[in-house]
Amino acid sequence: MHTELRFWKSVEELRADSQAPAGSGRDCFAGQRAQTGPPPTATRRDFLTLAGFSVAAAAISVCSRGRVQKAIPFANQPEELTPGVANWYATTCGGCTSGCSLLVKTRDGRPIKVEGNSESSLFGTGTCAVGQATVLSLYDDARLKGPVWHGQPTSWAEIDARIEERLAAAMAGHKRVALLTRTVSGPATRKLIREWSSRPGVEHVTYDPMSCSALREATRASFGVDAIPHYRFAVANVIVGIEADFLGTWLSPVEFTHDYTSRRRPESGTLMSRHIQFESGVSLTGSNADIRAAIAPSQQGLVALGLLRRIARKHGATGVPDSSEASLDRRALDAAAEDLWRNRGQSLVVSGAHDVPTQMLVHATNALLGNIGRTIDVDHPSLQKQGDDGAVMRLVEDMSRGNLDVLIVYGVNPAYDYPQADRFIAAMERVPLTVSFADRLDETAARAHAVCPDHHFLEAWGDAEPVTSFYSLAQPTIAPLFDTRAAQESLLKWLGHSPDFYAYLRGFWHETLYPKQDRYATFDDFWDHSLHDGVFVLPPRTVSEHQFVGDWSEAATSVVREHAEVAAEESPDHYEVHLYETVGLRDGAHANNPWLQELPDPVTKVTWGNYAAIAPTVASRLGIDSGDVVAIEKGPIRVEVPVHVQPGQSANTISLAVGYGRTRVGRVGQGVGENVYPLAHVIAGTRRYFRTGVKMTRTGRLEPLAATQTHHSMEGRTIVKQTTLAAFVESPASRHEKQPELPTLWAERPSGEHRWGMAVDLSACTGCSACVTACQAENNVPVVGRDEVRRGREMHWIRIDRYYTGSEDNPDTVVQPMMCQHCNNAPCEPVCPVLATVHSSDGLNQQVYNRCVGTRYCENNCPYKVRRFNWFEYARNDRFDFNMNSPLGTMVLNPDVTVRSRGVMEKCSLCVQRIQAGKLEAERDGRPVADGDIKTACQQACPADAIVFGDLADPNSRVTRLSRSQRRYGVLEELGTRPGVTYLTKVKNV
Amino acid sequence: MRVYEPLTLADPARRFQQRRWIEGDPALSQITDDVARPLNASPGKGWCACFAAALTALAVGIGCVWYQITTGIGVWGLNKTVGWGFDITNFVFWVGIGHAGTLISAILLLLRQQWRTSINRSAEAMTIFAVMCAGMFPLIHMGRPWLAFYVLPYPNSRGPLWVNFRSPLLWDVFALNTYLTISLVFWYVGMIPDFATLRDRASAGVKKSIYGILSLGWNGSHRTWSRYETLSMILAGLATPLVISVHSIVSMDFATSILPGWHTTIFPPYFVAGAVYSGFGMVMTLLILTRTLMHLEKYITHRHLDAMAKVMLLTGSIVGLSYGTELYVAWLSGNPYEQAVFYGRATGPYAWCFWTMVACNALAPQVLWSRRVRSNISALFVLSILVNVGMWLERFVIIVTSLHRSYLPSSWVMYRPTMIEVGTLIGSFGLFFTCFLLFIRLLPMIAIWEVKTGASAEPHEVVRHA
Repeated sequence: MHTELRFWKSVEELRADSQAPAGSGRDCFAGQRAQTGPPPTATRRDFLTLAGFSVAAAAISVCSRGRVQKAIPFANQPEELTPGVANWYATTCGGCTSGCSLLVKTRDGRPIKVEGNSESSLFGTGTCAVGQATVLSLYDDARLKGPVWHGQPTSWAEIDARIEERLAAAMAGHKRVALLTRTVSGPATRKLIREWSSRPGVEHVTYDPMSCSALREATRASFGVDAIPHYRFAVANVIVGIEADFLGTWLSPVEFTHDYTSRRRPESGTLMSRHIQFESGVSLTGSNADIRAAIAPSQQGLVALGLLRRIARKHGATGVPDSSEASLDRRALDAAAEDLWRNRGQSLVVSGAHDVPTQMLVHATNALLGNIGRTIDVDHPSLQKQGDDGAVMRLVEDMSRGNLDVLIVYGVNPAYDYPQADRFIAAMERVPLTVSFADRLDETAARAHAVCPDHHFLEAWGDAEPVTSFYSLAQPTIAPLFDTRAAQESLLKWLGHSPDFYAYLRGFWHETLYPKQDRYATFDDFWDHSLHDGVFVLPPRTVSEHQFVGDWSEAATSVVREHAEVAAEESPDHYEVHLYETVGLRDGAHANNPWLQELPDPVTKVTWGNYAAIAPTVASRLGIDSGDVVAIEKGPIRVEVPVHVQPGQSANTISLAVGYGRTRVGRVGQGVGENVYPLAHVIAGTRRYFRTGVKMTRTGRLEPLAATQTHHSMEGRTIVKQTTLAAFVESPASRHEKQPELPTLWAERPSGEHRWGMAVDLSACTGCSACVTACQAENNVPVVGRDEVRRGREMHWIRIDRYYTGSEDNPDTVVQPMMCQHCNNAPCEPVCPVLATVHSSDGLNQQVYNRCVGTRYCENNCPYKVRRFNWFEYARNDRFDFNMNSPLGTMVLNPDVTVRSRGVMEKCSLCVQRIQAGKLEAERDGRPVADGDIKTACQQACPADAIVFGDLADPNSRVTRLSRSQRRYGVLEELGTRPGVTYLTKVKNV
Repeated sequence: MRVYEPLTLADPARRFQQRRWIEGDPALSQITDDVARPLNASPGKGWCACFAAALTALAVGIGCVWYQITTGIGVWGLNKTVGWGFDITNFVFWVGIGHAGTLISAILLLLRQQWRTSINRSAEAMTIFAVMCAGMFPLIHMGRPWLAFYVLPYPNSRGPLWVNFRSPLLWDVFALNTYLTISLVFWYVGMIPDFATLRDRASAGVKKSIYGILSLGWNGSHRTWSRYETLSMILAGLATPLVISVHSIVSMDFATSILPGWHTTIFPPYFVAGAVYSGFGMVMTLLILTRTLMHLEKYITHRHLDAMAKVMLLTGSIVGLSYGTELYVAWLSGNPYEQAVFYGRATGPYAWCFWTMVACNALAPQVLWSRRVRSNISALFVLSILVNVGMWLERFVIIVTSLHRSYLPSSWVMYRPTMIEVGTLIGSFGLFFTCFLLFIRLLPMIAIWEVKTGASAEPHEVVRHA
């Protein structure tokens, strides 16, 4: 810029002027004041320069694509909240009724991730896929924003007035009021419900969409305890499962997976357990069994009877009637009985059967084996499923007769998942007032007169008692997002109490639990500690002897009779349908959760929708293949679903998943799959989730399945290594051809301070896929939808590869978590023309999104095929109308991880943001990073503790020890990639 | 200093040999008239129809590319396992096509093959246009094409961030740009005397001044000719290694990977042979069309086509041999992954591509052993189309069959191209033919001066009466 010539008379004058701004203690404006001479005037050139600059600046700023977003700092910094630093709160998971204890990570007041609570002795530190995904349900657009009266938004005062008026009228008129709830294990809420049901005319009915009513009734008949026993898989040497998917969906899968896998590590010093599974479809549990025998669903009773007969014979007990075993795998039965008997008192038979006699036979077997009080705890029963099928039936009956005045529905959706949903809906219409606490206008709430939306569990106070004497607290991790109210507070309000459930909960714990402990002197102390830990456990009660008091011969007769009835209507063109829950969607309550919809089924690898799983023999007989749509008919019920050919599926059976085909759930889950609940039916007072005499016909339509894996054989390649326990005991390195150390032209990488690596124990991994969802939540992995999965474009950074070996009729299943192997000689690195993927000094293969131009050569050259390309803009794009396309849904994003734009490659980073955080923390504390300080999201979520992350440069770290294990191997090591992820050979106990 | 033998041949015996390459022994002025005719006349119906078709195809291509760039690569059929499909297939295909031009003008010039004079100009033009089409694909195949300049090693303020010299994709950038530059210069330099001729024939006006500028003040003096021929030889010498290097480097896009089916040392020679093969196939297609369309049967004769057919027979057989060698080496290697890929090519879901490729590339050219086929224009035309199809499929087979089933069977998938990819391929043909049709209307498509040197070194009458 043009400046006037300035003359100076002395050096001092010059210096005083030029030094002034930098002078110490003087502010920089002082110099300007000291300036002498006339003010600079603008010349023509200055004007043109400035004009040119202004025009250019204006043009550039107009071109800018950046949106102006105002960040407003806290006027008053909230206590304990530092922007950018996560706060953790202990709470209880509301994803299902298992009641796992959780730690919730909140960032700037938003819950963004859940983890298992390490304080919980029951559940371990892991979670399940559903638990991981619950945090996304909090930010679901479909949630109600406030109370609804007859379809119109209203205020709480108004809706309360109307409901209270009618309730008062009903009570005054001695009319009946029913509270239809899901299983409630929380003692405070149970007390509140008891207060309700103690009022005259009020009745409480518990309804589980997938019920365990038969097991509860059988336990009452067998041991006089009206509850579901608590199974202890960790102390069982032999486990026999009969259609019980205990690792995936049955009762308490996280706890059972934790316990089960603690006995599946051959080096652990304890005897490796043996697992024998009898089932029709291939469940997650069955795919992990050492021996799996395919049975028809109607044969569950016969299997239980066959086991009981064999055990009774060994025991010397008599009175077990004979039954035909022609259609059963007698060898498997004999082997199971032999193993069970040899491990008396340390074995376990579990059954997911939905009829009382079968469950009684199983109880009798366990009793004869002396397992009661050891592997089966009847003194501390599980409260995770309390549904009473008979009571629900009677309630629906009453409703349809017009005998009910008020129906309050809490946490359940029978208009969708009741087998005769039409009947329930018709019955609902005869109830003068129906109230729902649903968080959205679901199938039931849409038909209710009043909807008083409950909080999401992350917004609410609560407690749980999943297993007797094991208490877990739930606390809000965020202020309610919408004008919702805790169901308990609604119930309190209508009872005439103060609607403050926090006070009620505290009061309950003060009165009931505080006196039972002697560790804390004051209640405040007790409360604060319990809230901090999230869990509180009472010392175990004294174990009482439980004798089997049931009548097994009658149960056996009934089983034989029922099977005979089924066998009578059997014919080759009739099939048995078996209904099951998937690991992702469970009973369907989470159908609007895109993470769960896109979670590949652990066995079939299919996403977005249900299908008819049929045996390969049936498929070839009918000339159909995966993707062909079939009509499944039973009487007036007809569903059309695509076929999935499932190796290992029991012949002439069809497995169909419930939880799909929601009609009112939100834009993600609506219309995905078909609702197959109508195929369930009631026999002898319990809901059965199988149906016999079902017809299946081709429709000629084609609906390709959205599967993430379409090839199922390892093609003779040693990708998943597997050995048997016997071979392992003989030589721990069995099935391990030592790979010759190949010469390399590459220089050894200079080793940095760390060399991050991972070890995956294939013996422990069940394939439950909790890691997949955990990774999705941690790393902002986008959901791409059904069509894109069909095109092979799912974005998961970690996937579970599943291969079958052996015969098609009953194959062995192996799984392998596969993520970026962080190869020391990574094939992806040299091929990138722009150095967008490079190696860090601590052994990470890094992807630099900003540098990536998207040539995809790295994807082509990755032998593990773990790289994922952003084919489209997945965030804020109406084509991908999932959580990332809504301002609410994006609140779940992890602020530590970039949301990738279209056109760039991405892949597992070994949770580099967690590594950085761990390193920073260690540096701040002035100590080296300790082993176990840093956990990747997949590792933290794993209920089986199969994934271990750590520093391979630290000779004492767990990962180093595991990667030197004799079971170690690297996938495709022979290529010279030198992967940073080590796998441990799977050992089967056969 | 003369480092070469003059191209103007004084030896009557050799001259006699040269003369046979064009028919009818036209006068020198007749040659100029014939070649320059399309430049001055209005376009014929045939040309207009072709041009309309080419423009339509180009419009389709522009639409597809626009849609793809605004929406994302996802509009193609690629997926987590198959990262390249039609895009790189088209790229390699067009680079291959671009090979014949330089081979004809540079290597055949050095080898003193006089028959090239009638075809080298259009073959070079074809090279330029093919390389343009080829160059488009690496650009649009990027996830973020607007950042394509990241692949250029230029001083920058981001670090400075440098490119990865280990990446074959970067070698491609250099190889392709060098090739395009040299080809362009060579092509232009070759046209200078013709521009001068056209300038001299044009009446005053815009045309004359344009040709005047393009001819760079050519005056036809002996000194000019002498320097001109020196420059031609130098450029030919520069271009010759490029013929080999470009496709060798393109083949390294694959050969340096660790993918079974790509990781093969045979690739450079195999790709070069294939490139020459496909290039000659395309030259054959174009020349058969243009000689009819532009009535240049006198200059592009059966003898030219016969000579090209022989080159195709040779390179086609090399390609066939390479197929066999690949299969044999895969078997010999004992590498199960390698074996699986080649077994999969022949028997897997893309087997029909493989066998069509073998039929078109290795079996079909064997009919060229017969002189009757070589002199049958229709047969040659059909064969040249087959070669084009076969060579496109060869690249498709190499890229897709290797990718879709590699190491981990869990990631095995199928790749199905979308209409957008097909549209982009059509568009690249549209671009190519639009350029080519404009070329034959605006520039002398036969090197007038070179054909004349072949026709006669002496004054015309003397030759006629000799």
